[in-house]
This record gives sequence, C-alpha cells and structure tokens, in this order.
Amino acid sequence: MIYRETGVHHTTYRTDMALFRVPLARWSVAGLLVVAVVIPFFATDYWFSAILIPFLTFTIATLGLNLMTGYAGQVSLGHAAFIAVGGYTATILLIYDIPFLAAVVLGGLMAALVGLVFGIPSARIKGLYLAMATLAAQFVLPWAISRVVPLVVPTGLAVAGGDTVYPPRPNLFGLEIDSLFERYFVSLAILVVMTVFAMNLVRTRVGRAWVAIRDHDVAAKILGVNITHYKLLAFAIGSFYAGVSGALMVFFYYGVAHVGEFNLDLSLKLLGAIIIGGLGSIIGSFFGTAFIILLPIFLNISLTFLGNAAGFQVSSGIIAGIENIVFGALVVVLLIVEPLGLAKFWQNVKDYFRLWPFSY
Amino acid sequence: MRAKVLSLVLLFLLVAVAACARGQAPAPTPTQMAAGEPAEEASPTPKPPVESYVIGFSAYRTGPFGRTGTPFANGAVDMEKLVNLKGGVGGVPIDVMDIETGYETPRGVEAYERAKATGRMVAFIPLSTGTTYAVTPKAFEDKVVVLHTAYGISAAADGETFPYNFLAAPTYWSGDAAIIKWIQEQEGGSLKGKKIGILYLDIDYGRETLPLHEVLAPKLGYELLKYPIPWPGLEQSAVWTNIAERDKPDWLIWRLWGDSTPTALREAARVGYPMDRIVGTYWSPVAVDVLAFNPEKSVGVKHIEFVTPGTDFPVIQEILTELYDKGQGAGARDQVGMELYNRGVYNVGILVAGMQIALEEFGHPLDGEKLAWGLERVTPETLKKYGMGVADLAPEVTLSDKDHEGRGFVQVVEWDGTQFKPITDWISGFREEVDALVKQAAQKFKEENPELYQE
Amino acid sequence: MDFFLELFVNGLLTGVLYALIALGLVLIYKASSVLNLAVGEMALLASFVVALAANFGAPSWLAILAGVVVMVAFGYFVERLAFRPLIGQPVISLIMATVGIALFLRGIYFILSNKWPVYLVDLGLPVDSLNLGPVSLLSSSVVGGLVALLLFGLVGYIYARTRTGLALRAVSDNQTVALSLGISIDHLWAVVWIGAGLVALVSGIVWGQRIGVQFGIAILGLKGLPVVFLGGLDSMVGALLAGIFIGVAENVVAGYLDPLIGGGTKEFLPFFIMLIALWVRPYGFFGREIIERV
Repeated sequence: MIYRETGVHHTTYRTDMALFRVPLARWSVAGLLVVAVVIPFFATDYWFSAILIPFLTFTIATLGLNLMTGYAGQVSLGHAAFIAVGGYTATILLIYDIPFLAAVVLGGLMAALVGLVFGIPSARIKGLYLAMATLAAQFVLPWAISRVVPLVVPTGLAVAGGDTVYPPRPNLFGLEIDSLFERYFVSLAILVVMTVFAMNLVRTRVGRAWVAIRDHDVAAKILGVNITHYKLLAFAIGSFYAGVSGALMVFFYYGVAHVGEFNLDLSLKLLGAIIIGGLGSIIGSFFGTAFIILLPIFLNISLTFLGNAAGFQVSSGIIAGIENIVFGALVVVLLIVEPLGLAKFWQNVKDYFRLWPFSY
Repeated sequence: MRAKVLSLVLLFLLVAVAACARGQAPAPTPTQMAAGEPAEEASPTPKPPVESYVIGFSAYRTGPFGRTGTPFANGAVDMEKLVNLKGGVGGVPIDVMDIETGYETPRGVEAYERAKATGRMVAFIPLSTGTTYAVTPKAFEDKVVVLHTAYGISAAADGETFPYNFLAAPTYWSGDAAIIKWIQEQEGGSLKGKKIGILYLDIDYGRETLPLHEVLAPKLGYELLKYPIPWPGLEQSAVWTNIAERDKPDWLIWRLWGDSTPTALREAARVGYPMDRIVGTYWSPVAVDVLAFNPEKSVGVKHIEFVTPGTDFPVIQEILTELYDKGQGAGARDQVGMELYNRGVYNVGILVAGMQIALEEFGHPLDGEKLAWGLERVTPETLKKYGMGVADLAPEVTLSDKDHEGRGFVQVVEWDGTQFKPITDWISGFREEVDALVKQAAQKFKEENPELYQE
Repeated sequence: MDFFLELFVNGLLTGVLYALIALGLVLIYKASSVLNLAVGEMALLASFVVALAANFGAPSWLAILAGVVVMVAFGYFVERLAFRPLIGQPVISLIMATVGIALFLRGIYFILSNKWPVYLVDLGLPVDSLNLGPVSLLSSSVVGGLVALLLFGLVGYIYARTRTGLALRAVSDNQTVALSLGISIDHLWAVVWIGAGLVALVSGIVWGQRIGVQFGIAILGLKGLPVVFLGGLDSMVGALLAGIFIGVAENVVAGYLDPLIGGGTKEFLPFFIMLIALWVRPYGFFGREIIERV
C-alpha cells in the first residue's frame, strides 16, 4: 500500500518481516477494510448483485491465475474450466449435506487436483506452447462435467443434459446465508483470507522459487530449485483459488451451476485481467478484475446515459458496439502508456508520493 | 503525454461512475408507488399515475448469437414504441429496457438488477438459457415475471411450481412431441421401422428433448438416432457423412442454434439430404440462417413456430406504417416479419395483454405479482381484446394458474424460397408424455429449492 | 471404403482452410513473436466488408478491392498506432494488445452489421456440391482450398526469394542483430501486418462462403491455435501440414468414433493430438527449438 517510510526504523526481525512494514501502509489497508465493511450498509441490490459480489468472487480467481502466471510464469488458458470444477464439486457436496465451508474448501481441492493433472505437461512444455496445453483443459473438462454430473446428481433441473444444478442454500454454522448482505460478507471474508495467504506465500521459499522459475527456469534449476515440483505446485495452488472462486460464484453470484458460464471467454478475460492489472502483483489482480469485469458495465451505462442526455434514440446494439470499440481501444492505450499494467501505474503514484512534497 | 492520457481515462471513469449513480437515484421506492404518488417530472398532459412500467430485456445484438438476437430485439423495441403510440397501458407508457448483454450471463444478471433498480420493473425477458437459470430464484424473491418464450426452463410450464416464470409458448418437449405427431401423420399414421435422427448441439439446450424421445421411440416404434454436435458446430462434415452414407434417417429433427445452423444447411446440401425432411425446433433453422446459406437451395426446410411469421397482420402493418415509414424503426426493414422479429413483438404484446387484464382488476399501480395474475387470465379471447394485435400471431395461447405454457400448440412452417410460410394448423401431440416430464421436472425443482417455497 | 474416402477428402479440404487461418498467425509470430489473437476478427471484418460491398451491388472484383483497401489500411494503422509504440515491450503485453484490437474490430462489426445485416459473401462462385465419384464435396471448399494453397505458395515465395523476405527471415532469427544490421523493424512490421490483413481477407472470403458471414468466423480463429502449435509457431510448412493433419484426423476419428461414444470428439480431439505432440516435441513438429543458456 502507501509508503512513507521516512522515520520508520525496524529494530526487531518481527517488525521487519511484517506484511505491511510501514505504519501508513497498515493504516491505509485498515482504512480500505473499513470501507469494504461499511459499503454494504449503503449498497443497493444493484450494487450487490451486479458489482460487489461478482467483483469479490472473480477477484479470487484472478488472484489464483496471477500466482500461477504472474509469479510462476505458467500461462494458463484453462482457468475457467478449473473454476467450473470447483463450483460443481462444491455444489454436489452441498447437496450431500457437507457443511458449507468444507464444501468450498473441498471444491478448491478438487480443482487443485484437476489442475495438477493438467499441469503435468509443464514439466516439458513452456511459454505459449504451455498455454495451448492448458487450453485442452478448457475443452475437455466441460465435456467431462456435462457427462459426469448427471450421474452424480440424480436431481438436476431435468433438462436433458442434467448438468445444470441449483445448489441448496448454504449455511454457515447453522446460520443460513441468504440475503445479499450476508453473501457479500462471506465472500469478503474468504477473499481477505485468500489475499493474505497469497501475500504471504509469495514472500516464502515457494514464492521465491516461482519467481526464479518465471525469470529463467534453467538458471533456477542450476541453483537447485526443483522446478517440476514448484511448477506443479503453482498449478495446484492457482487451481485451488479458481475452485474456491467457482464455489462462491455458484453459491453467491449465479445461484446456479451452469457449465455454459465457464467458457473460454472467461479464461481469456481472466488472463486479460492479470495482464492489464499487472503480472506478479497482488493488488494488480484487484485492479485487473475491476477493469475487465466492471469497466464494460460502466461503459455501457454511461454510454446509454450520454446517448439519452444528448437526445438520441440509440439502439442497444450500437451502444454495445461503441462499448467494444472504446474498451478495446482503452486496452491498447493502457498497454502503450503502461505496458506493465495498472499495478505499475499505482507503483508510480506511490513512488511520487513517497517523499512528497519534498521529492528532490 | 502519459499523464494526459491517464487523466483522461480517469476522468471518463469518474463520469461513468457518476452516471451509474445517477441512473439509479431517481427511482421511486415501492412504497411511494403504492401510495400512488405522482412522478416528479412535469408533463403537459394529465400526470400518469406511474412514470412507466419497466420490462427488463437482456438483448443481444452482439456476441456469438448477435445475428439471431437482433431481429428479436428489434421486434420487442418496435412493439414498445407502437404500444406507447397507442397510449401505453391505461395511460402509462411501458419502458422496454433494452440492455445489451452479448449473451453473457453476468451481463444478463446485471441487466436484471439494473432494470430492478428503477423500482418499476414488472417483467424481465432474459432471452438466454443461462440468464433464465440465474434470475429465476431472484424473481421468486422480487416477485417479477420472467418471460421466456420457448426456451429457458421447460419445467416452468407448471405454474404452481413457478409462479413468476411464464413461457406463454410451448416447451421444447411440446415442440418435439408435435413434430413427431406431424411426422407420424406424414408417414400415414405409423412410425414403425422409421428412422428419426436428432441433430443437436451437445449442450443442455440440445440434449433437452432426448428423454422425451426415449419415451416415445419404443412406444411408436421409430428408431432414434442421435447426432450430437459439439459447440460451436462450425465444422460438421463427419456427422453428415454418417447421416448420408450409413444411417440414412427418414427424418431429421434439428436442435441447433446460431452459427451452427447455416453450416448444417450447407452440409445437408452437400450430401444431398432432402431439405423437406428436415424439421427444426423453434430456433433452427430460422430465416436469418437460411439467408446465410442460400435461399433457393433451402426450399422445403421446416421448423415449428409458436408465432406465425410474416407481415400480413394488422399489428405488423401498423409497425411498418407508424414506425418504419417514418424512419423510426429499430432495425432493418427487411427483417420485419421474420419469425424472430414477430417473437419479439409477441413477447412485449403478451406482457401488455397481461398488464391490461390486471389493470381492469386492480387499477394502477401494477407490479409483478399483479401482472402474473393478469397473464394467468390470458385466453384467445382476452388476448384478442387486450393484446394490441398479437392474438393474430399466436391465436391458441390459453394460460392459467396451473399452466404457464398455454397448452403447447405449434405450427409447422416451411421455407418457400423467400420466407417461412405455415403449412399446418396449430397442432400438438402426446400431451400425456409431455405433462409427465413437466411434472417430474417441476417436482425436482421443488425438492432442490425448498427455501423458495417457504413463506 | 467410400465412407472413409469421403471423410478423408472432406477433412483434407477443411484442413487446408484451417491452415489458412494458421498462416495469418505464423506470419505475425515470425516477425514479432506475438500470437495474434485478433486473427478471427480480422477475417470477420474482411468478409463483412466484401459481403457488404457485394450487397450494395458492387461487382465481385470491386468488392474484393474494397476488402483489400480496408485490410491494407487496417494493417498499416494497427502497426502505426498500436504496435510501433509497443516495440521492445514484453511479449505478453503485445498479445494483450491484439486482444484489445480484437474487441475493437468486434465493435466495428457489431455496429455495421446492425445497420446493414448481410448474410453471405456472394461473389458468384459456384455453390453446388460437387460429386467426384463416391465423394461429395462443397465446391466452395474446393475453390477455397486451391486459393489457400496458392496463397501458401505465394507467401513462401516471398519469404524465400525476395529482399523483404530475407529481412523477415533475419528478424525472425534474431531481432536485435537484425536491427543492428540496419533492418527497419517498423517497416517490416507494417509489411507483415498488411500481409496478415490480406491473408485474413482470403480466409474471411473462403470461410464466409462456407459458413456465412457471421460471428462464427471470429470464433474460428481459435481453430487455428492447435494447428500452429502442432506445426510449430514459426513454420509455414508446419502450419500447412498440421492443418491438413488435424482436419483429416478430426473428421475420420469423429466419423468412426462419434456414433460409438456419443459425440463431442471433434472439439477436443485436436487438443489431444496437440498435447501428445507437444509432449514429444515441445516446439511443435517444424518449430525452431530454442536453445537456452544461462
């Protein structure tokens, strides 16, 4: 977060190794959390369902992909498929009366397992070629889900495929998670835990090994890093995040497990989110999700608004076309202005204010 | 340079956020509405009791199915304009909130919430299976009518289980049952030993009618051949080689959608499969699909309809004279009268009929619950009286509190080289088997979602 | 045997058309190491422009000329406005930029097709199906296949025999060295993007004949991906052979296997082939192996 480290001296290892080493950083994070807690008291249904909850759930998936791709350098185009695995597993477990939190975690673990299997090619293949190998997951897994789920769930919405399942309402320690308000807080809590875990993880031996592999895997190997092991770990952890976010999407956002939502488009969007947000940056995942998931909605609303204000009868198709054009152009402009993503831009702002107003 | 661009971007974002906030702000609360408080905006004519009735509409003129979504969306928007030209619903204009979603479910959910945020939404048209699934539980809570004509959740034909979901059109099961019935008649009353192939997209939409055929096939003695096509289905030559060289089915039932359909038409022509032996479900092949292949070569291809295509109806003529002649039409003129266009018209029309019926009973202001009550009283007679002309498009719809499907009558239409023309009267078939499937599916939904039924 | 032959020949033709999409990807990759994810959208725009012009009554040659003008202008401006400022940036940022361009093109297509819905590229080519002995073919595919082969030959010739081709090969060998020898990357990238635009024009017309002018053409861009990865990202011969191989394999296997296991093989079979192939040869069959040093 924000750094004003002048005058901050670390005299113990404990403070030196803290997650946020500067008091101002701690305060700003705390402030952000307070905002996150206060927002729902003012939010309307629209903000919950269309903006806040999707943002929280998608961000978890983006975080996972960023660990996998941004930190460990393993490009994945199959992330949406892992999300689907997590979502479906958690839904099925919930139907069989497994408690909510366990279902979410087990959904994540199942996704991790599947991710591990699809990560095996990473032992030999790398870079763009690996991205293509993971693309296979995107085609094989939905196919498998649409055939396995009807066997496991005897219910299903009796559409013939039977792969559309409404999850029962989750309950946390006997409390039903029902209203949008509760859904928001549960998602928020899980996101915070996952974020803190990710922040810590990238500072450990694992995170350093990942960065070494990403930057130069041959060099990392020579330095004694077991690269196969760490690559697979990256796949497992990245997919775990995907699985958890899948469970939350199904329970709290869509309210239904429908395999059609977890398509290649979503995978590409998530990849776009981490590139725009900033590869290898936790906060970049947040920025990126906001950009990819929310900006099109903002564009659509504001273009409709501007169209009406200007007195034009604009068809929604034209607006959507303009939305696509503006969004596409924004992506290119942003990359030209700051190829390293929004996180780098944020870094620049921070650096500017670091010694402000006495910077040189 | 960088700073400038970035500040421009930021400024734009700010405007966007402000616009969003503003888009929401003026919505009156339901209690205000219930008290009958007039809207704040001044108008020269006597103030309507409610500003407008909002029909949320997740349209897609873009995205993978934009080609097929466009005529539907234009039909709905044109009908909205026509209804408002004629004075709206009891003096209150309707507002079809045409929100572009590109067939993406997250955007569909957003559209639902955006329409809901006006506080005046009485109905929502999802126009996508995924969005229907996602908004159905919400609609239970918000008491908003979800109208999914011949797509979405087929079990919603059971009005007792789905109080707010309306098909107002036959389900996929009714459709395929009617097709089989019709084929049976063509074959002289017996299907014994005939081969009927189903060419379907291998997603839940495509697979939906397989259980029905598994029931009907042994009963009627036809052989069921399945030809799944993986999405998006742009390359189908292997399946068609199988059809032409090996199985040679007597009839083919299509359950495709979007871009896979022109490809299938082309392959059918390649292997020389007779076009007049192809009967599609409601969504394939539609007129835009045939035009994307070859109008002359597709003569004879059929699909079933729940609204009659064509422009020879007063309501369509009115749209042409009142809107298109004055340059106010929403889309291209030559798409008016296509079956997808007329479905858009019908969607808005039947909602208006429901509102008018409810208006007679309750007066202003209306809400989703009252609209549902009104829709349940749609019969051929009331639709004629209140439907602003859409009764001509679908003359056999009879809804009730038990039946949200409307008795499931369809019409077989055939491509004659320039347009789809009806070749049968309104038909249906095998109601017992279809009803059993609906019952079973509704029961399952009820068991899975007990919380929706707690009061 | 007839059954097999029909599957085989149709697969072959489809494969050549896949290879055509792949060619657009290889061209860009060779010059800039960028995977062009806008390849499908470029073909979509091109086919739409041609179809629109033909729809307005332009004769075939004029319609194609309109397509050429639009795609050349597109290639030039994309290079000038988007890629030149990005020279030297991480490859992944460049790939993302192609996604941005893809969205941009989609927007243009959506607006234009809403205004003027067109359905088909009508250039007066034969639409009948062709019967060669026991095998029935789409005549549009046959024409398309021949055009595609011609195009491969042409691009191959340019690479092998012209000065620009020499420069392109130098850049694909080593960008830095090429730069220091006085080769202008700006210029080459413009050439390559214009070239890719023209390839997209051809594949747009060919595929537009086959499946109609519709958004599906953009999705087809994805079909080119397994092809280039199987053949090797920087090999044109690889793209051609891999395209044919995948076309034939998916058709023959789907023909025999689909009735047995209930379908769906066609969609992921190419990826399976690719996975196994990549395991054996991580840089594709004809791709250049990267030798890494620390």
